[in-house]
Amino acid sequence: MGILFTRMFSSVFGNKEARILVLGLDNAGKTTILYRLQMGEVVSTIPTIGFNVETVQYNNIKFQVWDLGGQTSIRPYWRCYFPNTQAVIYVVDSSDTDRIGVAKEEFHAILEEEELKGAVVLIFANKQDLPGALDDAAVTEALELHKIKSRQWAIFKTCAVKGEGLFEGLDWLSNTLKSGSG
Amino acid sequence: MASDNLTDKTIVFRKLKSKSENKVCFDCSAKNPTWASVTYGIFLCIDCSATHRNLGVHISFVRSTNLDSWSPEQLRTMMFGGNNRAQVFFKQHGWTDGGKIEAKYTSRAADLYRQILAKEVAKAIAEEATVGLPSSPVAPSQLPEAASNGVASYAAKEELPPKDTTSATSSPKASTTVVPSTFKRPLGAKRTGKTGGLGARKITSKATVNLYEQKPEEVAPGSASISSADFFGHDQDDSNVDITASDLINRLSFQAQQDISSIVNIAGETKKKLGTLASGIFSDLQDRML
Repeated sequence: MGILFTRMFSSVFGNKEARILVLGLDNAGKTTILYRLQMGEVVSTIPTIGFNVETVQYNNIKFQVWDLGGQTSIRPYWRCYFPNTQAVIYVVDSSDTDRIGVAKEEFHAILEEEELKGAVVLIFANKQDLPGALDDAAVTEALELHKIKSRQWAIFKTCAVKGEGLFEGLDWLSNTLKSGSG
Repeated sequence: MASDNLTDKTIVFRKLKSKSENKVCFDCSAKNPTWASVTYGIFLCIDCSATHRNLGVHISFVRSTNLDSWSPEQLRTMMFGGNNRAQVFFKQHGWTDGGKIEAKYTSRAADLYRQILAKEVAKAIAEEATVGLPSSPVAPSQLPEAASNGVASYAAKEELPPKDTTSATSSPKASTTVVPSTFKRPLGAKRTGKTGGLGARKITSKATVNLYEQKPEEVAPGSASISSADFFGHDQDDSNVDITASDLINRLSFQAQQDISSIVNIAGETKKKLGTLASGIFSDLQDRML
């Protein structure tokens, strides 16, 4: 009875849950973004071997955010987390222009995945504070975002250590998820 | 075959990690580091790798030695670099252990070292591309030499270090710092050459290039001519032997001349390099005084 009541209550007030993956190359800023969203502060991170998972309550949506390690040899394990994912946050180190090509390839490999066909994609052009960082337009170009068909996506300029752009991205995400399957 | 050895991550790292200098984290001396800053060719522990990652890829590019893929260029940088060489360089520029990491790696010395390493790697790779196939048939035994040339060929250029250190000690901090003995002990004799420094370093790569080109020419044809004379001209006439002997002498003297001229060239270049180094140190000093 209690469970039923909670469900009715949450459906009335639009309290939804969403499973979100944070992906990207190593040292893109995934863990920093996760904890910035969750705690609102900058934590000192070490390279993620494995994953971090936290829940973030925002705009009446309970985001279950999975931050997976980005080192080359652990990227193949990302696919273990693909089922039942509503959204992917793809984080790019905008100042790492040497590896933007690698970032593009990984990104398009993710888009090809059958299990992520229904997921919306939010791209964070991170580390905007660093010298030589590409802006959102340049990252859009480099990742060839215009090639994305039949999927909702958006890109935001972010700086995780200053907290800029992150919640704008989350706003887009919550609005898209609400309208998409409301 | 040849390039396989130099591009295979596991082989290269097994080799590099067997050196005692690379068995501790460059920044904090934690044991068995499995991370590396490719930019400086140094080995780091996971905690210090985090600090380096925070600096941004334009200052330090961090990779895991066992979780990441490595390009041939990146592996080459690690082979040319190594913890000891970087430590010597930083020390010469007044950066002692335990300095603030961010300041250390954004300093002019760090920038200089970064450029030196990058240049050496680019040069080695360009040379490899032009030499191409000929280098691969050269016996596999030569490859380990090339891989470790940074360390092994130090001893050859002992004349330079004294000059270098005198100019380095003129900087106030460098004179007070001595390489910690715990860090130095294991390699003993080899290390004395290593304290040389950057001037000596650059030339060693050139010297090994010379070795590369000389070895096949000098050893192979020389021995071939002797053995053929032995087999064919043995009981027929002795003049034949004389000719090959004089021929040999000619060749040797020619070789010697070439060697001398190349040494003269090297000396000239070191002079130039030492000059620029000295002026660099001087301007550094000036900055510090201001």
